[in-house]
Amino acid sequence: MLTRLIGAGTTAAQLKEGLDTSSQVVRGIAHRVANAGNPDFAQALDAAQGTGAGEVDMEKEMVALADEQLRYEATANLLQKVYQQVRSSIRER
Amino acid sequence: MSDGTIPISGLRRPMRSLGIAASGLSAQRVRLDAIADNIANAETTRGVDGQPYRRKVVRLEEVGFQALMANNAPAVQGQEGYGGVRVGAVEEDLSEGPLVYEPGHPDADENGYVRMPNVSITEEMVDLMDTRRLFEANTSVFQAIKSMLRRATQL
Repeated sequence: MLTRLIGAGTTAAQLKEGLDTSSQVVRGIAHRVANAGNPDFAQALDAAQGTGAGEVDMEKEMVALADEQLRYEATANLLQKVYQQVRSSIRER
Repeated sequence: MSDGTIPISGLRRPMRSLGIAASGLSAQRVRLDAIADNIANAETTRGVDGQPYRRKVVRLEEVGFQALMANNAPAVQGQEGYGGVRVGAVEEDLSEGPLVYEPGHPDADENGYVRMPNVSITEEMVDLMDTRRLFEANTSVFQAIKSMLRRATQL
């Protein structure tokens, strides 16, 4: 029965997926910020994005970082709530 | 000078993002070393090879995945490489420095001119600022990832 509480297809599974996505996005941000001083990377990035900026947009990356950090925090809080509910439901009394 | 590489592959999977931010810190530190060397030798007219000092330039290289180009693109799991940056090479700027008329100088030629190093203090200062800001940016990313990992351990 517990698979219905925290297994696949439940809110908990969705939230876990959300955490994974957030950490992958942050990994991407980390990579681009780490390569900000690398002109070759900036050129390749430009070719891929077609922005014509010729450099990593630091403001954009830092905003995206703050955004993703908050999203992660919120998702983690929700997941913790779900776990709390499951925990209290399997407890006697 | 170290090449600034971090053995990210030796880190556990959740910690690899920290490794990427750390590689950025490392790379900026190598750049800082080069700038310090350039400024220290801005007046060195006779280096180890007997020639005027030549400005050092750090060339950075991307490590690993190319799929992170788009803004907010997630890293693809199981992809070759782990991401980050490394120092490709510390090269010398081969342009000639200015000739300065200073007949009393021991390195002056027969006309009294001395070949100075091709270091421009202004340029180095701008580079220093850039390096410092990028170091800070990588620190912010590192802190953000650290707090996310900490949050995950408290679930």
